[in-house]
Amino acid sequence: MEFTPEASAGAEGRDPADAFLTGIGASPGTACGTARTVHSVDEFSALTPGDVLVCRTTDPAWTPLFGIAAAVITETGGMLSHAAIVAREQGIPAVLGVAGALTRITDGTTLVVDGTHGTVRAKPAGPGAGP
Amino acid sequence: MSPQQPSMLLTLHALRLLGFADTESVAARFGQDPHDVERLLIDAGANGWASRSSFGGNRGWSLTVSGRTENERLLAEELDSAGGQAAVTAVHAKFAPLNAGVVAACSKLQLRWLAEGSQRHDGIDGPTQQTFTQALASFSAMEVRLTAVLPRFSGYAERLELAVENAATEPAWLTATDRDSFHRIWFELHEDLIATLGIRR
Repeated sequence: MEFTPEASAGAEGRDPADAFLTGIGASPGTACGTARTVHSVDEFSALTPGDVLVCRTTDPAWTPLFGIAAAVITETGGMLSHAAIVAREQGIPAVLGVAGALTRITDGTTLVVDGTHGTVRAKPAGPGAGP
Repeated sequence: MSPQQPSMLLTLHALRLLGFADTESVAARFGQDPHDVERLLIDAGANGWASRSSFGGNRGWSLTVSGRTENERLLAEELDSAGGQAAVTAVHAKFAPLNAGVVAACSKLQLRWLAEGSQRHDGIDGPTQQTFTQALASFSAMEVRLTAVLPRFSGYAERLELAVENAATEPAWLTATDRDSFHRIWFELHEDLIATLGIRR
């Protein structure tokens, strides 16, 4: 499974595009990119420009990644966190406090991250499918 | 900052605080000699504690997971040797509520700028300005207590003061990531306290 949605979303018969994860929309805007689950500094090189950074938390070592990521998703933190401040400075959407993000999002999934409303959903596959 | 005896502790710790940095920046963080630091970084690389790479067009060093572990081992030794556990723990306890205020003030400013589309030269309201100046004053007293046991904590208050001064004419000095802004320094200080005590966020 590439993307494990909220229990209440993605019910049978619903468009899979409705499936989403929720968190705190800490930096506004919407961006689409390939999910990169990064567990530690040893995996930083996996992130390429335009990817969506998915991680547990951040410290100063992670700040350069915010300069190339299209959006950020973290398992911890909220509106008043260092990650939120750095994301706003870089002008990229951030959805923080997404429980289990590292296990529920599979590396390589194309995601649409809405930092205004605090939602993350998998981008539907196929031509003409937009965010 | 007065010249320091080169050490693996200060080299790895500078890397921890800076995140990704070239040799000169790592050396400058604790006033070490760049040639000594280059040698220490190469040794750290050979031990698997640091790696050299290109990122965003710049070449630099970063700490590996194993380097973080070694950094924390050396910091624990340093803290034990200095008998500083009680002092740093007490400062960290006082820092936590200050941190909440600073992060909230940074967020308030950014959200106002985003909502109003206002320019950062619009100025800062009095209460927000006061949060930063009071945090600086409170931390200055804490820095005295920290440096009494661990001199390497010196310099934060001076850098924060400069950021506040610059912010009077250019508010970006409070939150920006492209300069030694108040938040960048504060984030580094937070990491320093956490690393020194060996605790997690």
